[in-house]
Amino acid sequence: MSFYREKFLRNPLSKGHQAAIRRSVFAIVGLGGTGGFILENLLRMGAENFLLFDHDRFELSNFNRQMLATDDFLDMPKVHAAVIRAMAINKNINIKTFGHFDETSNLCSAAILLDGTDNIKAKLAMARLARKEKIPYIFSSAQGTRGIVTVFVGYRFEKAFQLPCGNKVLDRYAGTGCPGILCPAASLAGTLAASQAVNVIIGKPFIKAPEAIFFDIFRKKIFWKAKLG
Amino acid sequence: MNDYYVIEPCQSAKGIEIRLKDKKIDLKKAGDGLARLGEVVGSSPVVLLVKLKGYSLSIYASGRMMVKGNVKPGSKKAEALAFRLIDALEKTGAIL
Repeated sequence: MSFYREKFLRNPLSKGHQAAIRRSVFAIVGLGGTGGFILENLLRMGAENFLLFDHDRFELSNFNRQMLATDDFLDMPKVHAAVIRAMAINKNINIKTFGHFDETSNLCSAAILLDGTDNIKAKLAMARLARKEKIPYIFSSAQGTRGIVTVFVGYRFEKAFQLPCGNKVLDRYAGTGCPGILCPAASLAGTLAASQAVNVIIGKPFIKAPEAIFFDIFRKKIFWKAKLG
Repeated sequence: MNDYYVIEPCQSAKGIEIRLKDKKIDLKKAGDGLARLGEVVGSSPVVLLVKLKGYSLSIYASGRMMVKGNVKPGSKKAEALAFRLIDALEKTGAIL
């Protein structure tokens, strides 16, 4: 029995579905609050091929919510920390890391693009690149105690968020700041994003924009579905 | 004066980030120097925490400095603050 089979034997998936997850290339942009949990979930589900994008290093203020923020990884580039974490779970993984992401980034053979970022400019760049490459874009966002997750497979991101089309400057949408993010909000957004990505890969139902999964961990009814835009 | 960038940190942070271009910081020297100007509230081999004139500084050995407080990225105040901080670190010989 191989190490892979033994490690992921308890995934309630068919051989074909497990193989699809194993061979698919997942591109993740941002390895902070949501991105770290996206990566962790995909690793635990047996994904072995990743493209990881992040320009940042871990700092102390990341510790409240970011899966990979530990004393061992403090001041380390997030992509390096991610590789160490991934290798600790599965030594056979293939990871390409990049310190920068924009609309011209090379997604190589990625089957899906997952969003672990916290700003609308990067999200728009991801949506546009995914559209150009004809791959699904898994949108996730967490702020405070709330979050949103959906999958863009045709519906325009600009329409969903009422953003300017073309190359108009988006500065007024960026850098609005927020009081912070509670860890369960970041982890829920990341976990839902990873699960939706796997559903796309193995052909299970998934949420499609403009519909989205909304949640607020401080509400009595934690999850609900609604339309964006 | 060393080259550096003043950039906007992650959205959940209020303040600025200053990043040295291809330079690192000797945290021991930085701590000794900044202790004369403010209060060193914590230190480890990779990070030095300093309270200085109403700002909270996290200075990392890799050459990045997070400045938390009433300062906005892109402002003149941010530029002046970065200049003064780099100058203070240079004078202590902390920039490697």
